Amino acid sequence: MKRTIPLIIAFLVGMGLVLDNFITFAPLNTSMVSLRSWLVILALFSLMVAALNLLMVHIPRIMKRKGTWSQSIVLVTFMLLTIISGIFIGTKGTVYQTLYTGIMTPGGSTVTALLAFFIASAAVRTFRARNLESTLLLITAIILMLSNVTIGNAISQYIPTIGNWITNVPNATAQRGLIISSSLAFVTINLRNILGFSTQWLGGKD
Amino acid sequence: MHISNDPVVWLAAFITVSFLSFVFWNDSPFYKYVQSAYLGVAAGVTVVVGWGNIKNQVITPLTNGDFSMVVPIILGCLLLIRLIPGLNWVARYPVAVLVAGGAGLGLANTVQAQFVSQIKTALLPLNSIDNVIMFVGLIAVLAFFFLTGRTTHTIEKYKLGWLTYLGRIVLMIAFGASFGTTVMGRCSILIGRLQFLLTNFLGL
Amino acid sequence: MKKFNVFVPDKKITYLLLLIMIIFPLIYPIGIAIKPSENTILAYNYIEALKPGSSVILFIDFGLGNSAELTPQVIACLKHFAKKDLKVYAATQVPEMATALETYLEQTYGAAGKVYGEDYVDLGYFAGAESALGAMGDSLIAVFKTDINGTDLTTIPMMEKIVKLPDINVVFAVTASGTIPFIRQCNAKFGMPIIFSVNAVMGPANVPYIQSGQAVSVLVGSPAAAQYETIIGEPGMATAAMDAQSLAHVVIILLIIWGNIGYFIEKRQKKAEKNA
Repeated sequence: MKRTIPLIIAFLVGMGLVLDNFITFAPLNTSMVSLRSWLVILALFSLMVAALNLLMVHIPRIMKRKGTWSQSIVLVTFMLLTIISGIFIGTKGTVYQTLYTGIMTPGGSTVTALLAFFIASAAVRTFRARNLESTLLLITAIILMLSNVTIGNAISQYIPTIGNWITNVPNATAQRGLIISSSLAFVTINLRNILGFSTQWLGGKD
Repeated sequence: MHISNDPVVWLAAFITVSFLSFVFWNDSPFYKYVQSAYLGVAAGVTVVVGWGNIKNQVITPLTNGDFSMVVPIILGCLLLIRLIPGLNWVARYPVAVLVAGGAGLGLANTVQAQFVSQIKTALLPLNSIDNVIMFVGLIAVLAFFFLTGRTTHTIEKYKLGWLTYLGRIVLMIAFGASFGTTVMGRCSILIGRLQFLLTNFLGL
Repeated sequence: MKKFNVFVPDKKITYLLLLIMIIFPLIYPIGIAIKPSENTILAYNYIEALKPGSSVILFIDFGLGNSAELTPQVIACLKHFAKKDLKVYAATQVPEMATALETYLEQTYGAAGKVYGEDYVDLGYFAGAESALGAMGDSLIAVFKTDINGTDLTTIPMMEKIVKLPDINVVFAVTASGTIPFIRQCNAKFGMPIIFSVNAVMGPANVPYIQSGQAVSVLVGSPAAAQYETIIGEPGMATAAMDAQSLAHVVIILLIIWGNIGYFIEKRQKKAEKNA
């Protein structure tokens, strides 16, 4: 029951959604319309599970004073402050807006901005023309870097032209190959999930 | 220079500089606590927005007598039970719906959207160098993906080493193109933060 | 003790050089000319050709981490839509962007004097990504029920004629996570035209979709935003960032070339030592 019924549910749901695209049969089509709207509600609940899980990890850490518990205090405090101000005062209130504009926005952006340093440093230290393949990669990268920015056109009008050609011909060719291959992989993996050949998503041993 | 007197801008500048400090001073305690604060706010924002949607799409219709969403609500509650140790297996029912739902929705259109359309586009008349490169290049890339790995003996048997090598060359060009644009993307984000510091905070 | 190699500078020197080359042009702009690319012109012309009153659904599918790159594009396009009197239905599938989306609409449609509920509507956050897109194909109201302010969608005038997703004329998807769900659920299923704005990482991977006609155009990163701002005649944050982009790229390229010169010198020295 713990494994069989979920597999049966997965089969019925998956096959129903696939067949809905090919068969005109009123009971099937109507039930799939309802199912698609149910998925949205389920996704909302899974969002809440993720957030509650975070509390369940950090609160025991604080109570047991284990590991990085002082950081956990900061995390839980700010999380609860945001939730209380957002839900009870409102998202247009000063506290929520301050937390969003003062902490969330700069934090989210700056964490990703750090990658610019790391990518530059990694490129400078490791990009070497050791053989034909790495030389091609290097030359293409340099041409594309110049053609993507305004200075490329300022240096020579041919740089953007060559950059466009690289993007639209060899790059598009390779990406098309990747798209075709990944679509086959996507179909295989999802069919295995629906038909019950792959049960990793069930988790657990029971 | 006209430094902002808005406390929110000061807070945002402080957070920005704290995160940027990681680059020069690595994992300082300063950085760690600011990171924890950010993660807490991020999780809180997710809960607030999610709760707003649950209120509008689940609770309000229920209180108005609309019971069409009872089944997903029950499944959603089963998902929450996952957090109770020992009862994780209960969450398999809603997870089955989610996994199969995503799979079924995607499957139906993937073959048309990604497989058939792209092959159709690849069937070009071989009347220009670009078209020849694209056609031969695609076959080479597909040969590289499908013939290397477990079926390497096929390459040796039919002497297709040149084809898979050509596929690798085409892929290297694509990766070079991807790297070039990735650098641009990462620099854009850094420039955005520095623009904030210079313009909004320092008033330059 | 770490051996000093003049051809491979210390990481912190690279970071410092990068910072200086970005900060300098932000304070003292150079003003290198911006030339619109083919894809930007394609997207612009498509929107220009739409009749006033046509509808566009704007999907925000990027987080705050990519907002510096994609926000200028959103703003530039919304300003263009406002000039063309297009009706915008805006939604986001990233919870943290719900507040940001309100700001984008206020700065563009609100500032242009457009009426909320008649010219634009903020549908807010929706969960479920591709599942929700699939459900929108049946009914928009079933997915959203209310707008971001909690107003019942059935009472909003511009929702009268829009029952499901295919009733909308154009999809404008600004995404940093993937274009495939939109291609599958909007174009493959309903034949809807899609204009994508993607972050730079995803740019090259989406070129095949333009060639196959599944996407009208793909606008890549902040250069595309700067080009769009130039075409519509409203320079903004993206335009201001272009000089800094150029110099940052130049410094990285020069350091890579410098490192390679060092690599070849070292290779030659090792070969000479081996032969000696």
